[in-house]
Amino acid sequence: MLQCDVSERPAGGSVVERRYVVAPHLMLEAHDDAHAVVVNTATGARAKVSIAAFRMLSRFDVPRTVSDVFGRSDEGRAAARVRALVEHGLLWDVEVERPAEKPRRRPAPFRFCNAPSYSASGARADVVVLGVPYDLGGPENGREGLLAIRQKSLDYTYMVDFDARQPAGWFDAGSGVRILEGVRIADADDIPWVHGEPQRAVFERVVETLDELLPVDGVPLVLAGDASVSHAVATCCAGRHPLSVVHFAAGGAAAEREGESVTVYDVARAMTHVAGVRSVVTAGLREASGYAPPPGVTEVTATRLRAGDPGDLVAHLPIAERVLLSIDMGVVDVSTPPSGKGMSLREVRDAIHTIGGRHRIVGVVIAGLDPSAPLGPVVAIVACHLALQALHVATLRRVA
Amino acid sequence: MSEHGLFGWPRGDATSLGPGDVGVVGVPSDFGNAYVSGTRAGPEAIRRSSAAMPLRDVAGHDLGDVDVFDGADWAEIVERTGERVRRIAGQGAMPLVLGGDHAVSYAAVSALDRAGTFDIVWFDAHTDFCPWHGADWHNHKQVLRRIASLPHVGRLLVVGHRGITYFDESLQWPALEVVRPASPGHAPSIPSSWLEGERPVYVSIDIDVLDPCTAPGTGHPVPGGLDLDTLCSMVRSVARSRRIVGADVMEVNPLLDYEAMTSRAAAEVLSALVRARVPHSLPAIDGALA
Repeated sequence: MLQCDVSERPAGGSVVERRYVVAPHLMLEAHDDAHAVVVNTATGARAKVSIAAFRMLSRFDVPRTVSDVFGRSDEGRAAARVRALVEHGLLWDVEVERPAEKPRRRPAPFRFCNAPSYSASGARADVVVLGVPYDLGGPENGREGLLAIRQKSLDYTYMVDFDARQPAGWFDAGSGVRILEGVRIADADDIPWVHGEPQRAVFERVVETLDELLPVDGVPLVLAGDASVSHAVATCCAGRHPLSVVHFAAGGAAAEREGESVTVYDVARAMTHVAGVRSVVTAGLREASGYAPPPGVTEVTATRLRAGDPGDLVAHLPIAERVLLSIDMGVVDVSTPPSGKGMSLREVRDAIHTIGGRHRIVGVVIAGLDPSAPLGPVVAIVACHLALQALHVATLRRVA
Repeated sequence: MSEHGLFGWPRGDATSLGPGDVGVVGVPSDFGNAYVSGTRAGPEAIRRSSAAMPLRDVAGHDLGDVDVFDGADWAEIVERTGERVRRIAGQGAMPLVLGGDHAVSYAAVSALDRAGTFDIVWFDAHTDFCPWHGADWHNHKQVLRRIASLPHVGRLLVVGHRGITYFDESLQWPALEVVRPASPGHAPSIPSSWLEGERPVYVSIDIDVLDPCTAPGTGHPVPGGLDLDTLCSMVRSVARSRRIVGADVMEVNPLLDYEAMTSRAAAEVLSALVRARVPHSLPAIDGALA
């Protein structure tokens, strides 16, 4: 249970003389005879308070002074309790001006695999999940893709072993072993964005938020509306250590830039200009893009991956490199029987294991899922599998 | 409830059945699935889809559904299902059970204890072999482990196991063999050792063995599954080479389905099974309820 923001202190003057009102956006989430849980619906922050405190809080539904509520005789005793509610951000002093501040994160309806909220456990998490529902970098309707992935991921519930009190992980039938055992995952909700906001501002918010949330060795799992968001994640991760990016996409992603915004068509090229990014491999193309990739970008088609040594994928990466894995879900062909035009789930999974076998995966982006597409629900399941497999590889191997 | 039964077969009771016929019983239960409900509507959805593929060359009667909505608990549903299955087998017919969640299969398999030792072919994305301690009713993820402990059950073959689960499905039973989905360029097939021998076989089909593109209407779909032609081919190969003592199709959830794709797939695979098994007929099981 996290505390509401302690952002305000009582202004000058006696507590009993000032007018207070219950903080906006508060709702009662649960209560029993002893306690109440109130939630700030704007930030998702929750606070557990005594029933007595909750009753006191509800008497300030309109601006009132302490003596209005408690009378002159009791205002002295009540003042200390009112001060505590103000300090916890549950009561607001109506005379204090508050600058309008955008929340950095927005609560998501579901948490990935129902893992704990970041606010409760994030500082100790090995993996931090962050949603970025930005999809103006491409034509797909990807902003709802995060929701679909998180909702489907509830089929793969994050559980903690009863005796060891460590995350139990999952059983992977493909390898016959448990994966992600002991790996602590926390979901940090979504980055908010509004139409009309410059892409640069959204991406800066992504970088700042990841910088703030990620523990030193933490692995981000970013669920993104479209693959342009990988640029922001690469900026954050490369700011910590130099790295390369392996970007799985059905189409070329190294087109000439047009304008300032990063798109799904040029994100690979754009990432080569990020400080700390040494190279970008675009993998899984359904056909050659038809243009010469710029320096620093290598293209590997799905056909070449299928026909050649899986090592082809990593041949272009420096030895023992840190790698950001970016997966545009359009790379996966989920049709049954396979039409052969894209990579199968198994092929992408094998490629991830190949990369992770030789390099250290430091971040994972899953992007480009349109849940309203005919096979959207199936792709959501595939996305869950790929995310868990990638996190398994990322947390299993640590290269010095 | 539709006037005609599965594949247009007439409604009837066990006395309508003769040796070698197919006796259909529906179990509209989702007691064994604590997470996703909806399989209770599976039997009727499969019957509706099967209406477009009548089987006039196979004799069968549909005995309707087991009552599950009268306050019965899980143990009573198992008992009622078992009794229907015994009555069908008692006529020398083959029981065909429409689920319902996969936990129901235990009722059918356990009720066939007078058929002698038989093997199990279990088409499923999961092994359903999660630990079961006997303290509670088994659920659909533990059902095969409980079935494996029945004295009249011989070898077990799981076809289609794949994906990620939060329970430990590591294999812990010497008589259990697993066929995983195809590797690139190689179609999965039934091991040859399972296509010979005199011992009868019970075939259980969890519809999630199919890829979600083919069968989206199920509670726990797993990508990378079989396509319908491959499943039908595998089922046919078992039914042509081994005597089928009973069969079921489970986990069809119409609430999650898209244009009845899943119930139609279930009907198609059942059609493949009962057509392929025509050469065989079961002797009436001595001492079974008549």
